[in-house]
Amino acid sequence: MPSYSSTLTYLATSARSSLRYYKHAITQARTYCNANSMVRKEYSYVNQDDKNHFIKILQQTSRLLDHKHDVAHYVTDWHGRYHDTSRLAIVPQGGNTGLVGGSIPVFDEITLSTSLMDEIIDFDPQSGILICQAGCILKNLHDHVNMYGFSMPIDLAARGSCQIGGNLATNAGGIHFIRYGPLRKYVTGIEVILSNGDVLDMLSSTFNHIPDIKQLVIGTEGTLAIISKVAIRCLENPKCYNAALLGCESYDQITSALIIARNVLGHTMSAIEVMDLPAVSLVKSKLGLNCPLSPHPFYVLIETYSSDENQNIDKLYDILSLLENNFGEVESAVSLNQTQLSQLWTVREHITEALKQDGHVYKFDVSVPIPKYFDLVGIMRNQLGSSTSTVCGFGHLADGNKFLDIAIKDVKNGGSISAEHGIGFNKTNLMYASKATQNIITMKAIKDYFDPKGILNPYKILQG
Amino acid sequence: MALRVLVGCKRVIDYAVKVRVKPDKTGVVTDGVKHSINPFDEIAIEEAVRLKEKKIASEVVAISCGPKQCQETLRTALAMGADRAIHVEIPEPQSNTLEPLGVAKIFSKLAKEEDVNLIIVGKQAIDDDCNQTGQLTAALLDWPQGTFASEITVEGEHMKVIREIDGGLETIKVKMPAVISADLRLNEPRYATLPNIMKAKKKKIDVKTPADLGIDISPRTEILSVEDPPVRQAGSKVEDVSELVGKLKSHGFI
Repeated sequence: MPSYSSTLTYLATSARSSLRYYKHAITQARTYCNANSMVRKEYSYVNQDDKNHFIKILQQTSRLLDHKHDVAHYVTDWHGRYHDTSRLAIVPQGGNTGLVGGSIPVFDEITLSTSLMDEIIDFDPQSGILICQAGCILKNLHDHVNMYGFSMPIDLAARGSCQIGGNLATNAGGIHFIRYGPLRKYVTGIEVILSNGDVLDMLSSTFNHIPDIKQLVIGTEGTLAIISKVAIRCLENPKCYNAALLGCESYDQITSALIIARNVLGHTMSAIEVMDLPAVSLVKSKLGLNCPLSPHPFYVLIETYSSDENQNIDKLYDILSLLENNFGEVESAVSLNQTQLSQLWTVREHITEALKQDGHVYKFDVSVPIPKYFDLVGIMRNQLGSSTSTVCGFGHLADGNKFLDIAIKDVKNGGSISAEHGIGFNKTNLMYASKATQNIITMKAIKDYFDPKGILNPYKILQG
Repeated sequence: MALRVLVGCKRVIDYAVKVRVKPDKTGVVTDGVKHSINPFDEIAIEEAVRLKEKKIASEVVAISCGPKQCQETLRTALAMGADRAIHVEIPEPQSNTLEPLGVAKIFSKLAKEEDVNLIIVGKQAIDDDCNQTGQLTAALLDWPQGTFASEITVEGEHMKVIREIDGGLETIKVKMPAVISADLRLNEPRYATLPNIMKAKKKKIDVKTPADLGIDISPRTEILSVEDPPVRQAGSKVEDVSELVGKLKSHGFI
């Protein structure tokens, strides 16, 4: 049996090494965001002939915007012939809600916005299959299929701005990940634009691609092809969702809550989120949004669904009782209608916005084993001390993806690293660190096949 | 004196739901649509429960009129702290034509039966926006009314009511028994806690019918049609000030 002191040493060592890792990551972030250290590759520069050609394709002068970060729309009608002779780099961009710098140009790449491609083409209530253009905003899709009693198999706080093409390109997770699983499971077809301008139509589910090329494009963040249309299988809405917010005093209590919730709810657990007191206090002080519970070190939000509200409530009560057996009285707030459900989620979903108002934010989206997670938050808070204004932790408890966010005032260089959110621009170096060389070689080979000129979203994911 | 409080709770389509008009224009789609307690009634319940917690009120009774599902609304009120509930059962489609006058008659009858000295209702329901039930109830009972209340304070046999009016805030004093209608800023309603929801399951819900109370709830008005508001027309852009002035003139605005 390990002695007390050796256990402490182990914790201290692993904490120190974790801390070293994060300090390294911050330095890397600073380096990558300083564009002077990156070299612009041999791409063509946009000239007046190019602009005239774009205007001809787009059919309207107003759709070609000449300023920084502005967009040229309409991929579908582009003819690849134009690209054969030049080498103009493109960054596809959807709702631009990404947190890894994956959807913005590094130098002077042309930003291609899918925002005008927002047509919902068809929804079949028999099969639940939705066909739409890649620029449809997620919330609009939710609302549309909701009219037929269905929901999208993904949901995130950015739903009002993010587009489904981007969700697929980044293989986004979201709050209902533990219930639905990865988004790629639900894609029955996509239409993509290849780097030479050809349209690859994989929309119909009757054609079997072997290998499944769709799955290569999904999650590769616009580096292999640009998604233009999507066919997704939606799921029938359960009749009722109910959520309970619980106040927890210790990390042990949170872990217990997760285990108990899993046991009681099984596959009817649609979401479980955790946030700490600094995160919740910040939302109150910056945005004026109240938490329904009194202050506790941690909060856990558990959401469940079924065809009957009483069933949901009974199960949530079982979770509470079991938790109270081990930890004594637990303060709770339960949603009894749709409005209350949204309100319980509101604090959790506004943490990112509150942090932005607090200063410059370093977001670490970490896949750390659950027991280590809040240890890290505490360590970072102690180590970084007065140079930070807020160090807080929150995230999807069950996936193991949690966000360690550090807000710092008066920082000159920007930088954010994001995980569940993809690789994008800032984590390219970490990709090399974590994957074996053979993997990288194979990934590059596929990239070279799809995009021999390297014009699709350069500098992202695979640096080379 | 210890107050006995009656609170009206209406079951309405949930505030967060997007309402759709039925194709035959006779009303809005309610089948399979999420319903919940009218937000202003939730505020009314919260105020009544707070009076009880301050030991000013001795009992809070919640009432809802309508089909069987109203009992869900009453369970919410009980979970928030009401002691008992009365469900005045009116099945569909009759419940769709229930008007504030019918509700006011029911409330005044029950107020006498239950021997209450304070009635709190939400200022209006978010489905019909009538804003009549509180006032009609007060008139039928010949009680004073404090409507659009944003703050109430009991002072012996009187109640000080701060009302939200167009010009600002008006403070009045009413002698109890009285009817109060709750406005948005009266309070922030609590969430139910899990233990309270469980306790609420054991609380009593009495079921009555309008016939039991000897009340005629037949409507005095008839809904002719329900339609979507007109779609907003696109504006037009002008190049300069003279074109703007020209357009304003040609449309007869100046």
